[in-house]
Amino acid sequence: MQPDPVRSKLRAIQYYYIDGTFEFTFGGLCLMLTGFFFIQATFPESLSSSLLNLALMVVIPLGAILINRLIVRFKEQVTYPRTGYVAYQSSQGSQRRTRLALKLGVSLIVGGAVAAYITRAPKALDWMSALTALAFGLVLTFIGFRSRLTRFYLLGFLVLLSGVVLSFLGYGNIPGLVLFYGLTSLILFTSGGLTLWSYIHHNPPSDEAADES
Amino acid sequence: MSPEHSLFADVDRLIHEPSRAIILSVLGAVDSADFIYLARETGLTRGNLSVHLSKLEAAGYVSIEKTYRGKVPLTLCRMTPAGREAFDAYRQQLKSFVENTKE
Repeated sequence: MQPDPVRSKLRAIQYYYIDGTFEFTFGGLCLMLTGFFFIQATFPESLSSSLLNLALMVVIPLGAILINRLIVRFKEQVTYPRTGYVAYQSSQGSQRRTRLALKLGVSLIVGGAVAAYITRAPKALDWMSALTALAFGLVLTFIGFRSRLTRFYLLGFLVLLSGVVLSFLGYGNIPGLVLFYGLTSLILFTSGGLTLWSYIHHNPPSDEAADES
Repeated sequence: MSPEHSLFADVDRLIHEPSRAIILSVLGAVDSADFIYLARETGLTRGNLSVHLSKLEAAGYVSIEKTYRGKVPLTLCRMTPAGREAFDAYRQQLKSFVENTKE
């Protein structure tokens, strides 16, 4: 082995995705969104629907926090004893502000473009699954590019394909989103499960004490 | 001694040992890492890793903190600013040496 800072950085990035917990987190959020849109599709324009929507607005962020806690707990119990603990460098100062501004800018442009598109052409709602799939597909492809992990390219492709196929089959608007998020969570949970299985299979628990230095 | 050779002669001998250079390379990519991660990434035995870490700690290039995560003992290693500076200088020296001795 050679000292290679670039490769070390890449390996550290890859380590974040080693146990499939990222897919479980992302899949969990998609599952919550499935529930959210399912309620919207089942009880359209009723008081109970509005109340449920309001409740879900609280449940989704709380659920995200809960999922995050579960992931941390899972990593403490399963990942760190097997392959070790890593704390990542957080971006600081101007670098952090630039990244935040970039994220905000991209969100505003994409969100604005989609909103303008839908306002001018309400028929575009029929393509909501495909549009959402495009955004998710791009995110997953970017992760694949950043981490050089092929499975994220495949995930990006599958998610994009499912959204486009649903739109072509006529599952647009809210019912289409229910199916899209349901399918996406299924794809992500499957990938997460397979990754976790492979990780546990290749990294049996260490019988030695962790602290030896 | 020619300037390009003197450049190489001045390298930090503590870092200019493959195992320690690899340890610093791994630690440079993260904020901190525990002993298990370092052993896995460097491919060193626990004994070897421990010896090299002690030397790097003595030079002030690495800080080692013994802590607990829940009930599990954790040895957290972190590259110090001095370590980062020394490792960057070492890399720069090697790079200059390679560039100056190109055929």
